[in-house]
Amino acid sequence: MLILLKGGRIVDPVNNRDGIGDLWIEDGRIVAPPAGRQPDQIHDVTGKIVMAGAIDIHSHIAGGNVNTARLLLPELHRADAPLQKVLPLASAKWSTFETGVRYAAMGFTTVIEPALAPHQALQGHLELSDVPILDKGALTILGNDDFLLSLLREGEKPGAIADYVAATLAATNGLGLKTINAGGATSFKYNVRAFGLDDAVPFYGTTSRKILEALQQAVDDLKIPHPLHLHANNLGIPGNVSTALATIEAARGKPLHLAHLQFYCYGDEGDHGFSSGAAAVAAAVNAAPNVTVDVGQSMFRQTVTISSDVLRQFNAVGQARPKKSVIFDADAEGGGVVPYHYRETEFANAVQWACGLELFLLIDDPWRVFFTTDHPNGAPFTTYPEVFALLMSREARAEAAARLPQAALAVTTLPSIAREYTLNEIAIMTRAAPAKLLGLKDRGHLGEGGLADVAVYSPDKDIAKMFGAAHLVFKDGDLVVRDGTVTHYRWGKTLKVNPGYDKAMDRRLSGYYDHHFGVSHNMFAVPEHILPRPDPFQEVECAQ
Amino acid sequence: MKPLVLALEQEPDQRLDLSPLSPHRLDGKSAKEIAEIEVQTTREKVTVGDLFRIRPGDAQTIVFEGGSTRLDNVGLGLKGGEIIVEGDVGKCVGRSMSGGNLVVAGDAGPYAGSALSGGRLEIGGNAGDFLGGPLEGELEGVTGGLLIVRGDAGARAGDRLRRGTLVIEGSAGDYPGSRMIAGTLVVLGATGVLPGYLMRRGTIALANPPELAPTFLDCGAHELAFASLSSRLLKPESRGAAKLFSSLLHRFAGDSAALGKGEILFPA
Amino acid sequence: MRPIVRNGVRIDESFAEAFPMRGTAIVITGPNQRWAKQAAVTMTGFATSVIGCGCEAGIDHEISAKETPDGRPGVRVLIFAMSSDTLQTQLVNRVGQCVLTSPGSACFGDLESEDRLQIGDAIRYFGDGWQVSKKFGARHFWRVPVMDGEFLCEATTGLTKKAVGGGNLLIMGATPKTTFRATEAAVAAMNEVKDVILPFPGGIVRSGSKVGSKYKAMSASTNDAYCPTLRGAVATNLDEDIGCVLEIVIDGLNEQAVAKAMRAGLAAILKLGPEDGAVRVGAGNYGGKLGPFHFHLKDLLP
Repeated sequence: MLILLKGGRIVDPVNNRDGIGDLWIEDGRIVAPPAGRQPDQIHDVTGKIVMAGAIDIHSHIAGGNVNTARLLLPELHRADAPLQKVLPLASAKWSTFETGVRYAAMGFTTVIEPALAPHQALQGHLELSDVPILDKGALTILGNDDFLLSLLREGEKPGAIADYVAATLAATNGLGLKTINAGGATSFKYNVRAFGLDDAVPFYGTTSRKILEALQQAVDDLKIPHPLHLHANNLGIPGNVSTALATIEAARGKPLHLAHLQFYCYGDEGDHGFSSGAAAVAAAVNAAPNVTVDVGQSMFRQTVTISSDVLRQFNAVGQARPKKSVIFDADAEGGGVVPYHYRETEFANAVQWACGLELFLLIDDPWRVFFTTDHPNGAPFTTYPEVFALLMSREARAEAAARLPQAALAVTTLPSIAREYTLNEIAIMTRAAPAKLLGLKDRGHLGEGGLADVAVYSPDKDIAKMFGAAHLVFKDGDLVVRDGTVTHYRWGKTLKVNPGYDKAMDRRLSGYYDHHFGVSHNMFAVPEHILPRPDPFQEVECAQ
Repeated sequence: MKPLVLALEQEPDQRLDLSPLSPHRLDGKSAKEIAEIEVQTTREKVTVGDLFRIRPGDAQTIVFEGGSTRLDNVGLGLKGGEIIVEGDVGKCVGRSMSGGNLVVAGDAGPYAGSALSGGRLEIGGNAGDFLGGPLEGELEGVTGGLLIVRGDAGARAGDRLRRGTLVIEGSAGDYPGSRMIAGTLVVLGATGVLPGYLMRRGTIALANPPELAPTFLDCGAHELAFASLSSRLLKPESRGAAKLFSSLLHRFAGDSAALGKGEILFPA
Repeated sequence: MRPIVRNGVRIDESFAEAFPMRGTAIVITGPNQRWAKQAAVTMTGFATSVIGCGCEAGIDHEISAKETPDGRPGVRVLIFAMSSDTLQTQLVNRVGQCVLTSPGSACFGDLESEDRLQIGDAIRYFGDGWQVSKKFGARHFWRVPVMDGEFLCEATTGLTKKAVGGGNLLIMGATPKTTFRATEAAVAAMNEVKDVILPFPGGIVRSGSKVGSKYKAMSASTNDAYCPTLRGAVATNLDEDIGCVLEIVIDGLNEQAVAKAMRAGLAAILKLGPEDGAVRVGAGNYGGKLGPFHFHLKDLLP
């Protein structure tokens, strides 16, 4: 079927397009205007804005921890009063079905789950395959597992580590490699309650820095497009701005992605011993072209923090709102689920909010700063439209800031920042750059041959309204959303890499699992046929 | 002034959500506006006017003539004023109410008085399971006010009770006062198994205690000024409860499987 | 100036000058009247004057078992101080040392007011974690385990900022014997009035004071103008037929209660007449410049 989107303002930074024009779609791909043919379907999008489908690189939408959060907080899901138009606390809901629907309604077509624990990979993929409409992907976690730490302790060569990483990615169908407070969760098991970049992991002798370097090297050796995705040490601790700066240094000029950097921008100055260090971190990011970051913006509402950083989550249990939580000290990372309510009246929450916005606005290159709320840790992904409004309008920021404790704003630079994101920059940050970062050449742009993932928005003075309900959304050329409502359900693919490795590693792992656990190594693998839908994966080429 | 009367004309053919029919939500509404309020819980639309004959009056007092176990959420979130039901109600009657007086002449379903925080809820007949308890995931059941059941209550009455007083004049099902955080629960009839299961603090007074769990520890029989105080304060609401508290009381402390600072009292 | 004379007793054209105070009321109950009263007497001991004792306290009246919150005999105690903070400190110290310790006692707030003072909210910590909180409607109680069972204590009581301290009568008679008789009759009558206490020993003070002293360290000293043994040596206020002066000081939860007590006291004195009782009644003041409440004797006559 030949589809024409006629007369919209096409914003496509990859192809340097920002102007009125037509967009042609055929067989799920964007095509050149076909000479002499009549379209089967015409959508008049005059006055609308046409962008590629948005890509979220870091959103916890599937896996064991996400599921534990659902179990912990049934009250956030309850349709308490069926007559209410808006469900209570709808903003913190995340069933797989709703995840797909709500992302699609905002014009998102690809979402990456950033924390797939290797031994829970099946649960993660079952949930991902239950998310409708979107393409998905998952980043596999390593960095606290006994096998890797033992390799490092034994001083094994980088080749062995790369083989292990590749074998794990292959078994778990990961799109990239994530490490979470490397060594911290393992240290937690030995009653360590604070763990920095150069602290040694008990009994393994290695440090967070060494684990980080080894995994960075492995990603490089395997030519995995997405750089190592790092959840650094000391998340959320006042004064951790020094950790952020040291971690940027520790990348030694090699590609590194720093996740939810907002949570690492805290100084310890001022009367409350809590201030924003975002300006210093942004300056360091600006000076380190090898580093990419996503923000993890926090917004004021009820949410739940979900993390495999068990050490951090354990320390946060006292701040749970409501007062309940789950901490589990499982193999490797373990994890913790701690509900939290960010409040406008709270000094620290106000500083956190400002920190995130400072990062967005002070990092100059939109190709290196990514749009996330670390869903649901900073805020549910349903708040994205509000965040877009804050980025694109200084006035909206001032209005929101006026409701906060002014003493909190005084320890940030936010009030002095005038920058407003342009539509083109938004398109880079949410489309072009994520595709590049993940090595997805087929999306994030509207050039010929690209996937026909397209979002059409109706310009509105109310920016949140504009991004909250897309006028039209196409996934692989299928019209799936009309005016914010899903009109057609379909199933997307899960993106994965398949780096080659020496199969001797499989034998070695089999021996390890057999010896330590008495189970077969491949019982944790996720072969295609286990998943409920045919042909669930799309492979992303390993070539940097 | 005359109360607002809603006379149920026939047994409804679906469960109804009557939460919109509270004094604070009907204040200033005409009979016509009240008749148009939707109360269905399925896709079949049902309005107040379809079900009830409305006799206009001051909505500060609402009288339901007739009742049905399909009337859910009666008096949900009641803040003040009065609701009188001259029949049965379904689940969640008086849930989250914070003030006012709610009287049900007949039986109530599960979660009656769930998360009550103030005011007074009286059930003339029997109540279902989880009397005053929280819904799934919520941390607290009743946090204030007074809840009286003249008949029997189902299992787990007073689950996660935090503050306030529950009096069951009939018998209570299994696990009354389960996971109690604090507060007072009185049962005058028979009691099912394991009262006070995992209670942290609070008082359970039982006229006819079953065998207690071994995690409740015998602290002996005592004359307590607190008991005579309770007796006097409860007398206007329940003579039976007043009588129970005026006797010499045997005290068992527990549940020592949880915090262990609660107590079960019964006549020595 | 012609003195007012009633039943042969001369009444000064004078007034009692009184001051605003902070006041509170509690009820102490016990297993029987004797032990309820014992706790009350102990906690109101050494509480005659704010100057030396921190507060002024006394028993308002006894309460029958039917009227107390826990159905046991009780006593109502009033406490007054110059500031809310002092009153709070004194209340908790006195309940903690004298009521908590008294066998079988319980303690309840007995004053309706928006402003609250802690009782049980402070004393609960004695329970070392075993204290139990109980709420009935708006009332909040603490149960503190003690060696004879439990100390039941209401969390808070009311605080009034409209209390009045320093209402007084000066009773002047020919001899100590007749003066005593008149004063005791007045005390008995005033004790019947609710919401007031007479903080001095048995309701009576014999060492009335004036402001200032020849000694630097003393802010107040003996009221020489009313000392009969100095009648010839100083500028006396006493007539030749006066050989003894006693004073009654009244603190009340409000101005009306103080006036009512003074009226009752005056009536009792006047009823006795000059032969068996007082020949003259006066009232102490500072010229009306210091205290806002002026109780004129002529307005309080029966």
